[in-house]
Amino acid sequence: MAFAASKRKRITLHRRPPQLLKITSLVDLMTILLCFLLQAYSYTEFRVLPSQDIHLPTSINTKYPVESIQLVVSKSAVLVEGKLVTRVVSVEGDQGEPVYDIEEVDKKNTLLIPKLKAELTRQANIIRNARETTGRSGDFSGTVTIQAHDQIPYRLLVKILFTTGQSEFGDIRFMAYRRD
Amino acid sequence: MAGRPSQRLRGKITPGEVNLLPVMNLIAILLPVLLMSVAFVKFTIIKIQLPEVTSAKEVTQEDVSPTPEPDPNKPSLTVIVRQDGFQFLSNINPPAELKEQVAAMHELIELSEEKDLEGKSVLVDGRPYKTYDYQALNERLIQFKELQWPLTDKPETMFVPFENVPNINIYPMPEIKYEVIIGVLDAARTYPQADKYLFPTPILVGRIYTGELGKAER
Repeated sequence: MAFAASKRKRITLHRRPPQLLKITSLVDLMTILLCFLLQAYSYTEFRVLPSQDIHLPTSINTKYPVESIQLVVSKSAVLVEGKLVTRVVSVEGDQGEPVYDIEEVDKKNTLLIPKLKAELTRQANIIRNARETTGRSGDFSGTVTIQAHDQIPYRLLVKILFTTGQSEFGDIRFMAYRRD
Repeated sequence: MAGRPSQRLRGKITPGEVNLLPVMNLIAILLPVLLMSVAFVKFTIIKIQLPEVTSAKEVTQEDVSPTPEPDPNKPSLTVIVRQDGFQFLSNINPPAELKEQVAAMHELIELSEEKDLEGKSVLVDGRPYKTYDYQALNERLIQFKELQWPLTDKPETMFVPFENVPNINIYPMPEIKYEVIIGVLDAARTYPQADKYLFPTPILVGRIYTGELGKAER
């Protein structure tokens, strides 16, 4: 008759074989997540400055933004490529609502904003010089993308458009949130 | 004599588990990279056209009108964005039988009352809340685009004045907000019936021509 198994052997005999971790469902989940993220992946060539002073309007247009000079018109300031150019003032309207406008305009031509024109002309020269230095072909396109607060009145916007047009930037695009 | 069954049939070789660990490693690296570059908010751009004169060289306000003088031979349409709605101006000259219909197309599109889910008017400070009716604007612009009548000298040929006109003038009053302008630009470009833009390049203008051509009115 065989000897009784030792205690250690008994434990070993009754121990379950090590189970492999089932990761198939985890891989399924990860694959779905990966597909979602790849679909939402976006490489953008432009910068959007998040600010409390600016809320873009929504549009059903589907064109993607392109690399260009960024002109921001917020409730409090006008910025070109992140640099403060001039201040936007707010006065109270007839019904108590804020009305935005620019104080510093040209005395002869009330549509022209001299500081904005100077900065845009400077930016145009920078781009032109950079193109000449790097030997990139093609003319200066003069593309500018305007990010404006949705409550800005046309009174102010037309000054921005006029000054932009006067500063060699004739290709103007408005930026908005895309509504699907 | 029958062949010897294979080792697989005799159950000696069991199909092994696929090793998913390399895949998991790859996904674990890709996930943070993609999470960093995911765009939860999408942006779009709307290309607009300015009157030629604003992109010219040094000009002063006194000697220029930001709106180019319309060519009387080319059909032109202007949408005036007012605080009480949309007004239309055009230089088309339809035949007598269409004059009434075309006159109706020039009528003001008033602000519409905002309705809730039950169809009741939304009240703000006890008064109905009114907004711009972009849908009605789009339908009216489609009417203009599809307007046609037979030519006087060739009755079998239809004249469609706005068929090949790519732009319309949009003239917002000074107090109109930027979000309304974007809504009007969208309405001017959307053409649901056809797979193309209605008026692809709307022109934002500062002054308009009314009545007699050549006379600018600020």
